[in-house]
Amino acid sequence: MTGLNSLKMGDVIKGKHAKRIAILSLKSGHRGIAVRLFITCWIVFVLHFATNVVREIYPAITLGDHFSFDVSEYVGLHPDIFEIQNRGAYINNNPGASILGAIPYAIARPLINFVSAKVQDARASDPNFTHKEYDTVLHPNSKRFYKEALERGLDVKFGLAAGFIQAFCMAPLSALAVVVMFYILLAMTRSIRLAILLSLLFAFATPIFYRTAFLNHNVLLAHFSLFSFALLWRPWIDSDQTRSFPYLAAGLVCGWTVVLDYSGIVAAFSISIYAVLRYLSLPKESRSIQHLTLFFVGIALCVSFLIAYQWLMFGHPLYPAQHYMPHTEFSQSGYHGMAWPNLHLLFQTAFSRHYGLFTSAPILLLVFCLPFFLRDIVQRIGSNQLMFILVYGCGFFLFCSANQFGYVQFNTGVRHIVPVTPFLFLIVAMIIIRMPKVLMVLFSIISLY
Amino acid sequence: MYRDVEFGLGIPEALIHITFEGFQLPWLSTLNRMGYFQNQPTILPIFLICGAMIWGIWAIKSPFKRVGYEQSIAKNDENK
Repeated sequence: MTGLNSLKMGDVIKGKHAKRIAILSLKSGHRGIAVRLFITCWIVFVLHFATNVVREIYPAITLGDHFSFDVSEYVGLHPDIFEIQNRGAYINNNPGASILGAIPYAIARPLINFVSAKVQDARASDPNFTHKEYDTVLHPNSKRFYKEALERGLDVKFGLAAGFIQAFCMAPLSALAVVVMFYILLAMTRSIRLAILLSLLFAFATPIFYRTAFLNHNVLLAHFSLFSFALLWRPWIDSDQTRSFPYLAAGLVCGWTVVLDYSGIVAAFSISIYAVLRYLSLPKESRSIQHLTLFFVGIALCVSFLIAYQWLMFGHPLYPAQHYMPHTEFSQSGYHGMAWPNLHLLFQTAFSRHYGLFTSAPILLLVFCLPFFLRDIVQRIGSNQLMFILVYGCGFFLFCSANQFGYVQFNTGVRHIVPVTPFLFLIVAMIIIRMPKVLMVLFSIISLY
Repeated sequence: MYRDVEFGLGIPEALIHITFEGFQLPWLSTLNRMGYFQNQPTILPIFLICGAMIWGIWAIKSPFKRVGYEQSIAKNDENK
């Protein structure tokens, strides 16, 4: 026990204590660090809030205002809102992100309405008040949107709603993902300092930081996939004992990826394969088919919810919102924009100077060094986990190279491929720790910049 | 954070702008464009306050320290 008394931040845990510490870590010792990491990330994420009023915000507001997905009152404010005759107006995406965003909005609604009303009253009583133009030459759409929102008296409401949703939905979920990454990295590296530094790199040197600035379903998909994977894997628990709750929770968060976006099918498929592999890798006495069943029940519940949503909103259980939206430039080929994968889009998804994953986060380029560190990575991560990461990553790159709407990303940056970030980062982290210390620090600073 | 990757060189624009124009906060840039400020506001005080908060978080003693490793492991041993 004497060795443990001097344990402090930065110490590498090894030897006879390592196993017991791994078991106890989640319950006690690292909770303080995890809380600090969470708050630090939350502050930095909130500080970098971007005011974009994206399509998912509209249903979040209508859900909070009158418990409805119908956004008829906002038609004309966003090009991704479309009308269905006799049924109302909806956004052309799944409702998962809006539902999550509706929670903080509903809580903050009285305050938002109060401030918004006060500002409108002040403007009405000021004879000198004139509507100012949004000062931009590069973004005519932003100019148009701001003018329209001002005229409808919605500018303050939208701004505050976007802010509360970012601060109390996006930022905490991203901070939680960083904490989950910290626990995974701690289990793999057995070094508190390395785990903290690497999880900060994950938070701020990858598109997670850029995408957390406003409500975004792609980064939520990344987080929910990571949560599900972590709940199944639980590398911080040095025991094969399984419990029913993590399996059900893993199934629910995995299923929610499909409610967030149809690219979640790739995530649900890959994680399901992993769940079975993980189950089979357990000793026979630890296996419980009930637990695995609970995982699939969780997925089924979420998928049923999405089917019910489509049926109630659009009139058919199986057709997604994209089926009803008006045709656009990118929906001409394939099924509403989902065509065969093509190499050009694949290359753009990876290396486009406007939205490429590796251009946005050069740190992730290290993943291509995987063959040189294969044995070490398999040893640390495990073959099942590595296989999952490869299936998941390739699946997403294939999906993105088939989705013609990928070309739209030029205007707001990397988006559709963001869900692979946490998993590629796991491989990258294992390569970084093999670097000489000076190179590691230098590389980290450059990546953060 | 610079977010206008749509124009010019794309993502490298962020590096150029941050290097030559300094750090930016997206919400402050929006408020500026909406005409809430006469001049571009400085972000230094905001960064200092947040930096101090983060420093404080890491400097204070852990509220969970009393149930640290030793106690947990000792309890574990007792149970055995």
